[in-house]
Amino acid sequence: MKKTIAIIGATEPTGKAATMQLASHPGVRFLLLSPDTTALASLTQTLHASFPGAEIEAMTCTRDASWEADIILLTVPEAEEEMVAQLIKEVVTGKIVIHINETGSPSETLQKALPHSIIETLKPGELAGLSFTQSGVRS
Amino acid sequence: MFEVLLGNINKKISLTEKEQELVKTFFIPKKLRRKQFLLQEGEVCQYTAFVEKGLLRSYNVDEKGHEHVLQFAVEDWWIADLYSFLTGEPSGYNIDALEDTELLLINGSSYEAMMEAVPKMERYFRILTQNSLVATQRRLSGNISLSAEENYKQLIAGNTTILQRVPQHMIASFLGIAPETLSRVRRQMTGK
Repeated sequence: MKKTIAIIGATEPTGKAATMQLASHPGVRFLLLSPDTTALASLTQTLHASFPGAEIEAMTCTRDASWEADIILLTVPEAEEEMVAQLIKEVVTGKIVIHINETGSPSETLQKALPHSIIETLKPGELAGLSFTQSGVRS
Repeated sequence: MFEVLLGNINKKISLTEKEQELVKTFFIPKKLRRKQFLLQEGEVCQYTAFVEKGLLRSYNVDEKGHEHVLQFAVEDWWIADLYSFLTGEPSGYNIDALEDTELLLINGSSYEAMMEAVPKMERYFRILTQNSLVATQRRLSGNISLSAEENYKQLIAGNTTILQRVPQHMIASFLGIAPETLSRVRRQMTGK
């Protein structure tokens, strides 16, 4: 099964950098989410131009995208983490939720809100070493 | 999201509310769009899947490129390549979605952990295994001893929803007959 990754907060500075870094991964499908639909459309267009053939799609419903996804990459500002977690908690049981922040310190908010998900915290620079395998993600 | 699964479980065993909540934590909710794959030939089957909504099929492809349908799975059914799931060997099958589909997936380690946490689920899966064995035996027996018409009758007796949702050439493939033969059988049956 081809891995699907939902990037929530794709137009945030961290999310944008992460998306640009990951989009070239072969055999992975990306679902991009952001409340800023204009910036999202522009990012999607840039990615399609930079990585022809890559499966990249802008979506509007965070819950539906997380339901479709196997891995969720969360790059929203810290103040929005709780709200996003509440939105997706039912559909991310057993899934890997990668949380990216500058310090790389685990988010207690996410751990508490998503007790049945696998929460991984990474610094932005650690994304480059990720590889997506049939069984999940390896750093 | 878990209504159909819990309904299926509670038809066979009785779980308390607490056990139901616990069982839910072992499943991964997953949406597939039409034509997307749950499993592709050569991959190890990592999950057993329960269909909450939608329709999938499992099939293999022979050397001439012909598809042979092994199973359809609609709402309230389970689907997987059990051999690959249990042995960790690469699968010889493909499983794809014929409609937009909502699944509940369980992997090997969660499966074992669930049995330990909710021992009643052992009985549930034993009943499923028994039912599956009987169905496989009937399908095998039908394939080697019944006519195309009799096999078709047996299929439509319990699966009217599948017949309305699956293209005829896939039904023919499931029955192991040519599409033209299926058309002839259907014509003969409507003429009777």
